[in-house]
Parts: sequence; C-alpha cells; structure tokens
Amino acid sequence: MADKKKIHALQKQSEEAEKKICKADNEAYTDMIVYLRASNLTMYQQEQVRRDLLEITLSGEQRGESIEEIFGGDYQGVCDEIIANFPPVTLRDKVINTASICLMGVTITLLATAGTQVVTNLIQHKNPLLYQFEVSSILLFAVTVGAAYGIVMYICKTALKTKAKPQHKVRLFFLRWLVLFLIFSGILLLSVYVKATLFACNIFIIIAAAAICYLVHRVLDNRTEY
Amino acid sequence: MIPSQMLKGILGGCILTVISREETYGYEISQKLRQMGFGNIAEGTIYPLLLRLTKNGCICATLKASDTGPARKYYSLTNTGKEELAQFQKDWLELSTAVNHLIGENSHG
Repeated sequence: MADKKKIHALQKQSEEAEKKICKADNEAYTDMIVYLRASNLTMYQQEQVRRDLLEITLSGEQRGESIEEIFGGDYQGVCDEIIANFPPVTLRDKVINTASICLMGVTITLLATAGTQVVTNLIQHKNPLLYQFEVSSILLFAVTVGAAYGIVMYICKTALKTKAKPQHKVRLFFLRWLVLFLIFSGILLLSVYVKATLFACNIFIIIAAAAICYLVHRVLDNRTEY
Repeated sequence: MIPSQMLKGILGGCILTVISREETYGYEISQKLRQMGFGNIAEGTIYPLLLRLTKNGCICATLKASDTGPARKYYSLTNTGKEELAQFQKDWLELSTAVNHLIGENSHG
C-alpha cells in the first residue's frame, strides 16, 4: 500500500514536468490521463502510469516526434491495454473507498447545513442553536453527489472518444446543457418545495455527528488501497 | 510490414530477447526491433507490454534520472523472464519449422 506522501510527491513531479509538454500534444496527453482517472487503477498506480507516459511523451518530443507518432495514434487502445495489466480492485476496497467518500460528503453537508441554519435562524430571530433537518437536505445531497459523480465519469470515459463532427457538436452542446439544466432545476425545486422536517435537534449534536462521520472517514481512508 | 495481429502474439517474446542482451528502455527496444525488420513500432504501444511483463515477473524496472524530466524506466530480465524466454524460443522454433514446412510443401507442390 502506498502512502499519500508518495502519491503527492509523484503528483508534484508530474505537474512540474507537464509544463514542458508542447501545446500541440497537450490535449491528447491530458485526455489519456483523464481517461485513466475513470479506471479501476488505484491512485498510486495512476500516478505511476502518469509519470511513465509523461517520460515517454517528453523524450519523444525531444526526438522531434509528435504524440501521434509516440503512441501510434490509438490512444484509447494503449490506455485500455495499460488498465488491463493491473489487477482489478477488490469488492472490499471498492466498498471501503465509496463509504469513505460518502462519509466525507456527509460531513461537509452536515457542517454546511448547520452553518446556513445558524444564519437563517439569526435572520428569522429564532433560536440560533436549533437545527431542523429537512427531507430536502437528504435529497439534495443524493442529487448533488450523484450528479457530480455522473458528470466526472462522463467526462473521463469520453475523453478519448473520436471528436464529434461539427453538426453533431451543436446537438451535443445543447444536449449537455439540457442535462445540466434538468439537474440544477431538480436541485432548486427540491430545496424550494420539499420542506418537510425530518427531525429537529441542537446544532452541537449535528457538529458531533459530523465529527464522528469525519473520524470514521479517516479510519476508512487509512484502510483504502491507494 | 508485419501485420499487427500476427505480431501481437510474439512481441512479448521478442521484447524479452532484446532485454536479455542488456538493460534497456522503451524507446531503445522499439529502435532495436525496427533495426531487426519489425517495422515502426511506436514506443507508446510497447509500454503496456512492458507493464504486462513486469506484472508477470519476467522483467524488473529500475528508475534512472533522465535529462527530459521524469525518471526513465530501465528494464532487465529476471530468472522467471529467462525461463519464459527459453520457452518462447522453443515454441517459436517449433512454430517456424512447421510453417516453413507448410510453405515449402506448397511452393514445391
């Protein structure tokens, strides 16, 4: 298992060296790295591959080759072969990783809603320490996390797809905006119309719950295979 | 130029042969294969194969500083790799003998 320090050190090295990639090759290189982000590779494996691809790209450029010549043009084929050469992530690791991310999300949601609740209470001259947990908060959390995950996965998975023809580009542009519009409209409607209160308690209970969620997240995070 | 499908099955063994001669890196391997008549094999397409050979324990990689930026991986053969190479050479001899026989029969017949 690689510790986070190793990963950060690799990330820092790569970020610095990536500045040397010539403009013409940068898009294809970035698309490859983005595509790998959606794979089952652990963070450490992703960073190791990133370093290797970067070295291959930079030394190829130094010889005067374009990125197309360096990778033979089939970027997705190369990436798929790379991914296939790593052992798949176990179900246990997947569950721990997902739970860890969700708990971090819950921590942020609890603290953010607690903060807004204090401000709202003060404005409405209510008890500032009263926390009212609404059904919409759970729905908002689910929609926001789901949408964010979906958008990131869509961007990563389609990073190496053949670019759309100009007439399809306009259609694709409107389609993407329509999806985003529907997501954000959904979020807005939920927060306006679903007002049912699930429970009410002292705000310190929420802060304590957030702290517990964060602690469990940290424990799981330490068990996650990076 | 050798068709890529035909090359796919034997490229791993060919790479092992190149690495068995001396410690080397991706681009150098692609150049040596080109000199031997394998055509232009992009360095980027060799990288996944090197990953597979590393995963299977046939080769091991050592990082060495390079003047371009990130460290470069130099590959050398392991004992498993030596065994794998010996097996590849044996299999290839068998296959090439059979194919040569077949082609020879056709051209004489």
